[in-house]
Amino acid sequence: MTLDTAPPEVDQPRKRFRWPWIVATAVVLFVVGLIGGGLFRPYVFNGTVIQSSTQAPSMEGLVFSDGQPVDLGAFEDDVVLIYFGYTYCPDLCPTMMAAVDQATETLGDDSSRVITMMVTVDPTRDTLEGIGDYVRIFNEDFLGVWGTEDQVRSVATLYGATFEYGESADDGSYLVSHTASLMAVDTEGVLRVVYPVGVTSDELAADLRQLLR
Amino acid sequence: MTGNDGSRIGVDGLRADLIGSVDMEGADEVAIVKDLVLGSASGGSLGAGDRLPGELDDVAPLSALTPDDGAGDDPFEDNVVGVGASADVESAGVLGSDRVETVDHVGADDAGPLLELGGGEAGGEANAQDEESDQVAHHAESKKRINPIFKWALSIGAVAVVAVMAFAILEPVQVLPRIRLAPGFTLVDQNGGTITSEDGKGAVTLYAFAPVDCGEECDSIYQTMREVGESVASSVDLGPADFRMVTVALDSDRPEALAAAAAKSGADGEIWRWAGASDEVLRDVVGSGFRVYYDATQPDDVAFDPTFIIVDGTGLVRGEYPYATIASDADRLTRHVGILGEEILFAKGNNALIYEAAHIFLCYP
Repeated sequence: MTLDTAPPEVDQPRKRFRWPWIVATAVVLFVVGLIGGGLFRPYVFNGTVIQSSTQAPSMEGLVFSDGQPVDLGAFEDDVVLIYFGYTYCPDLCPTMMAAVDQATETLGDDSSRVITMMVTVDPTRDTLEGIGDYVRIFNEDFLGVWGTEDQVRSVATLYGATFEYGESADDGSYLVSHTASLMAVDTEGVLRVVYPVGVTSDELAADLRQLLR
Repeated sequence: MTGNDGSRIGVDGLRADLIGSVDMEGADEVAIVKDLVLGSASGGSLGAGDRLPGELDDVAPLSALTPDDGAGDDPFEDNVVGVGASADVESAGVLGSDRVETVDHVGADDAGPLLELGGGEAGGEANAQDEESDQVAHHAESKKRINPIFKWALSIGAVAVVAVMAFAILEPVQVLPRIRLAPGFTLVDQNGGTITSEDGKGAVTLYAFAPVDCGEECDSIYQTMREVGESVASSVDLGPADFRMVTVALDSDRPEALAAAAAKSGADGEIWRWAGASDEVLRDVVGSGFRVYYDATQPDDVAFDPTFIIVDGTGLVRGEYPYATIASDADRLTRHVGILGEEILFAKGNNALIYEAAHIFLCYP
């Protein structure tokens, strides 16, 4: 027997409301968003980040306290911290040097990949050996850098730093007003971050870990 | 309908248009029966998971078409096992196995004719349409086999990509690029005092460059400076940051000459100042630091590129405008100072992440 009549109309299946799936999707997206946001959130440095990928300005003419010329290219794959200060500096310089010392101490073996140098902005009073002795008070691995006033001023200009000599007191002492920012050159040799006065050792340590990656 | 070996089994006597598919490619395959209408005097329907009442015995011949995988004696086991009969039922219940995914609409009215399997006249047509419905069923089956985890990952990835693209394209937040460090300097100003790069820390500074005895060719520079100063003061909120303007003289460090140039240009000496330095210092500051071309070897004919530069409160160059455009320089500079002001005001706490993302995605005006 064959069926020669059209099949009866059958109502289409009613669509079920799929709210459980919608809720589940929203929850999963939320959780993934949290995890993804935590994993891929941009790192925010504690200083001012420079986006340019141009190399850090040359320090031609300046020398380390042992007389060797400063060549930033020799520190490839290292992070170089540069500070412009002077040994008679009453407050800002020792504070910054101490913060850098504490920050590098927390890095363990990686501390050897952080090169810290202080360029004297008072080359008249700070001798070649004197600037070296000064920075080694804070850390044996810190480097002192010396140059004539003109040489230092030219280099400092390109690092956004400047300095002025104050009036001499009766005993001949004077203060030097100077830019107290700390500059960080990354492992690619790019001037990457500028830290203001007041940056803490913890903040520096966190940023250094990031820069060393 | 196919057997375990994939060969087709005839379904003579079944109305092809009543049969969606009965597909069994081995015991692990899914059986799908669509629009298999069985007659019912009452027009009632079978619920999902119900055993066929009464007519169940009549359905039994259908089982004769199903290959026995030897898994059991129950003809429904492993094969055609679900019969959804109600229009309310979306997915059939299981009769004897969990392998059925879909069995739709088994009515009662046509049960009789359907059960007379083996009739020859509709067999060919049924085979052709059965093959077609096999393909449809196979396609549907393939779609259902996509790993749910893969689908989730794909969906989430798509959402993430769309979100990133939307951020990059729509640029809900705009920022000025952090180009490079502005040079450090100590210059002489029009009042005989000094003006240093450190003075500008915490302020937004607009720099321009011109010789002190510049003629009409500098009028547009001065006009732009005046307009920017007025419009920023009246319409831009920089929060705690001040706005100041400095014109660096390219050919003099004498306060008298600087003062004359200031008077000529309309610089007030407070918000807008003129400053100069020795040739050596200018070479470092203007040439190497600001990277502005100038040639002051001819004192009466200083060549230079009219350039505006915006420096933020941290000493970073955030905007360089080395040439004029069709658009008003004053409007553009004011707008960009405004963007910087918004960043100063809002890039704090968690919002700082959004601004960092804007920098990463180059959301520049």
